[in-house]
Amino acid sequence: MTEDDLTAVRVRAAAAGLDLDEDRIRILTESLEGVREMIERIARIEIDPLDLALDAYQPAWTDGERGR
Amino acid sequence: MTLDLQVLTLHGALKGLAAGEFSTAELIREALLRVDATDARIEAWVEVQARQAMELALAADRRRSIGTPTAPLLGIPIGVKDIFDIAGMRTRCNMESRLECVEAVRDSDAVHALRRDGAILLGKTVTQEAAAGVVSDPARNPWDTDRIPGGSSGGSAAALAAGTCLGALGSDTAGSIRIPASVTGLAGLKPTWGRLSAKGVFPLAPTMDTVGPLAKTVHDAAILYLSLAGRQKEIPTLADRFPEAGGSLAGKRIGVLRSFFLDHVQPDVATALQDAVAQLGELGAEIVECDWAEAEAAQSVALITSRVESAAVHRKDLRHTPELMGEALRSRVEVGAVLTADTYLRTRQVRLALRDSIANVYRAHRLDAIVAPTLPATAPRADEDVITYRDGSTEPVGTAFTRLTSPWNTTGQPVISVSCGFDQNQLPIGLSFVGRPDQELELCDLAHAYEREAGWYKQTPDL
Repeated sequence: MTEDDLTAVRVRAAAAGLDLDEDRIRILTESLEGVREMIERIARIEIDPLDLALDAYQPAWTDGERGR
Repeated sequence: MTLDLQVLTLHGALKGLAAGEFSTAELIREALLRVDATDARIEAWVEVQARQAMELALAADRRRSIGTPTAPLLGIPIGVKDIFDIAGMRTRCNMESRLECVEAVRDSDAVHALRRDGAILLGKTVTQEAAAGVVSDPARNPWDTDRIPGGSSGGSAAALAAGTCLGALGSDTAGSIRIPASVTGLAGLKPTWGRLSAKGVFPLAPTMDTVGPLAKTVHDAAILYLSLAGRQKEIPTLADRFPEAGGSLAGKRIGVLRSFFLDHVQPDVATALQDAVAQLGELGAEIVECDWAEAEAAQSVALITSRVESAAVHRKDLRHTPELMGEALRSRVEVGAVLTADTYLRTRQVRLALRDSIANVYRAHRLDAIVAPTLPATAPRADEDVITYRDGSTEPVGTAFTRLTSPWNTTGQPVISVSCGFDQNQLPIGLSFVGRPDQELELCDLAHAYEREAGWYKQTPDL
């Protein structure tokens, strides 16, 4: 991990209201490395970015169109 | 008569009590003796309310003796994971910050349902800290007390497999009912998300948290499910629905996902799955090979969702008393606390898309269910942090044990895990039946037919 990585995590932690020492910043930076691949995998799934009907009830299971 | 609670099922106990073969007092006394005999090694129980349980047992026997119409679970001893509120007891969640928390004022909805139906709540079972993990220390696996019982409902599973109760409550956010069921040879039902009330249950990730039963058989799991769902009047009909001899699966179509769920599993697990699929075919089911390309993405969605939501749940502790959190929990919620709203919203959107994509798999292949290994491996020793595969590769236990379970928390579908054999160390292997939303009993039909044909449920640990 680079100093830039650590700095970015310090900023994000402070913004989240976390008071972390340098050991915790390093642990958190490593943990975020671990989830980066998952976030990238999620980003590769194609969706309509304007489709925000998050509470739609499982439309495909009922053969219905999602109500908007 | 001698009661063997390791062998006796919940359904068998109901029949025995109704026939007068034994009394509720004898049943509860045996359960409490069993706790005394085993819990120094298993450590499944946080707290047992022995005196209250015996009082309730005597009251139940009085109700039967005067012919009072009985509740459908009257006298059945149940273990409750220590994240469910029970009025008058502390809900400690294995969290240091809650060791001296105030006692719950009222029952959680799940506890209320079981109590309404006459069940006797023996006490609280061990969970992983905040229900966030798969180890459930200090509880141990009755099949090998050097090994973990899975988690986070590990105490419930260990208590049941040790024969100290006849059913147990668990919760499942990324696999926490199915994982312990798999490694202890039990049936564990994760209902459709939202189907059962989680009111009065300490949350982990509310959009995935799912209440459900652990039981010795599919029939027993269905009995508890109906009680929890407020459908207790249907419980007597289950005896006809789930005959002892099992039944045919003719006309049923069962999918086997070729990739992801079989990619990286221990050889004994792969063999057990092959054998189970063959048996399902012999029962008349049509086996359909299929793919779900987004399975790995579904695993990722579950993890990100869980991290962000658990950070929201624990935000106050994280800011003010992080030193009271274990390292695993603290690391987990710190990650969730710094992920952005953009990431969470995108994850929610993708989650919907993935629900559609798995629904399309079921529709395209006209599937009644999908089967898959519940876990890629059997229970590791408590001092092992990783699962080691035949090719020498390793995987952290927490990652390995949620890899195949958590995609179904993303989709919210019902899943039941049942025993499908043993590895070379005589450790149980679990098979998951994954159904369509809101079709819990239809899913149990399939799992029951397999369970009776395979017969693995009859085996019990030698304690």
